[in-house]
Amino acid sequence: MEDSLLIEKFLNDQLSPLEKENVLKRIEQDPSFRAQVRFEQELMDSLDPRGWNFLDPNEDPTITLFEEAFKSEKTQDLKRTLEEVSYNYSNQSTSKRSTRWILYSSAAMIAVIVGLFAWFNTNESPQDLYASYFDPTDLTSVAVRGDSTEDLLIQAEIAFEDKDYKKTLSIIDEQLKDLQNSKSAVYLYKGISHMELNEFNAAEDTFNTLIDSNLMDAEKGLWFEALLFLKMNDTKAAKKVLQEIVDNNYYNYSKASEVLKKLS
Amino acid sequence: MKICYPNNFRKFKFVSEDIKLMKNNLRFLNALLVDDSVEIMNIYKTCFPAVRKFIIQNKGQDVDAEDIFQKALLQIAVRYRKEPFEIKSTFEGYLFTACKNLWRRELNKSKKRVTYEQQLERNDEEQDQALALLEQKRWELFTDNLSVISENCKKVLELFFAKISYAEIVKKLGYSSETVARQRVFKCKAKLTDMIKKDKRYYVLQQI
Repeated sequence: MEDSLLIEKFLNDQLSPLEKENVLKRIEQDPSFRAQVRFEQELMDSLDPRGWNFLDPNEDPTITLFEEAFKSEKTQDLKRTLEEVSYNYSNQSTSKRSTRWILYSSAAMIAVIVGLFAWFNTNESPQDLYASYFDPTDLTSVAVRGDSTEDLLIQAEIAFEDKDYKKTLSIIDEQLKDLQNSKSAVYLYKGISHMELNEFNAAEDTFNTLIDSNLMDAEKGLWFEALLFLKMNDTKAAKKVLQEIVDNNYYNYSKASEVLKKLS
Repeated sequence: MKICYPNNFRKFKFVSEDIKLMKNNLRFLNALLVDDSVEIMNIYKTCFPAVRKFIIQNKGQDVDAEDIFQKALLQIAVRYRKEPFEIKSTFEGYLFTACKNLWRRELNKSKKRVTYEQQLERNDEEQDQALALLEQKRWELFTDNLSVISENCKKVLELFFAKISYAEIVKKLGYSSETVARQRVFKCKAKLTDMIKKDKRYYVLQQI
């Protein structure tokens, strides 16, 4: 039998036990035959649409080069960003899906509810609206696995969840200064803490920095800024921001449109 | 001259579309290199739905789709950083293929779990990702060469690699006998092997 056919049958397990034994012996003894079998196997596994050609880690010395690249800080940073984006992406798409479902299935009910709201809630003050729409629990967690500043972030997050806004601010301002530039959640914690402590100017500055940044959650800054204006009783400014959210389908745009209706 | 004008015109249009494509590809690649979360979100919006659909239709679940998508993006970033390579198609198309391959790899991994884990002494995530990257490079070397071989050879080889029997190949391609089919496969496989071995990427792989 020709070598090529022999190898093909060997790889497809179509040889008799004796023939198979001979091939195995040759693989062991003859380096060029061994290379030929290996090449054929790579070819068959790679080009089989259901197969895959696995490499042996000892086979390719460049593996350490790439391994190090995967372990590098740059790649680990990108990995964290990807986890964050993926989290936000899936949250966005589920909320969009459910919004669509509600829109399609209960348009009539919404009309009734809106009517009832108009009837009962005509005198809802901006502060009341602030109280009923302020919900910081849906913020992305800032703590990311394997980060050296992880402990501090977790501390800030715990303080924030405990509503200890002074402590949150002291951790962020004193120890996480550099991190602010890269984490939108840190901005949100900071802005909301100022807002809850009635430090309105500092809150507005923080939200504006977030809004003007290139960070992914920049649009969340608009929603909390709108709430800030409600808390400050500045209906006009709040409406402007809310309209911007609705027009651009930004974060919480359906809630923004509800609040707008109640304000009008 | 009259003939030249539309030709040139078409050529110009083609080039301008190429530049547009290149710009788009670079925009997404760059987002991965500089960790630009806004642009990465755009990659998710543009590319993830198709990948998710593919994985769910092929025995996977949402979490698998998310995992594979992330791994493919990391793979592209690391590879591009180490040795900038050209994406000939669109970034979307390239990413989709990378995801498809990673998923195929996962499915085959569980098939030969025992041998695979023996090879991989430690349960090392980065080593596994580095292996997947090298395997992807090899897959591209083989597939690219198969795609430029003659149309006749491509047809018969695709059936052969998909493990279609010679009897079936005879029927599908209208050969006169199985012997003829075997000869065709033999010749075409030799041609493909020759092309691959002459490819400079193969030469590089052999140097290491």
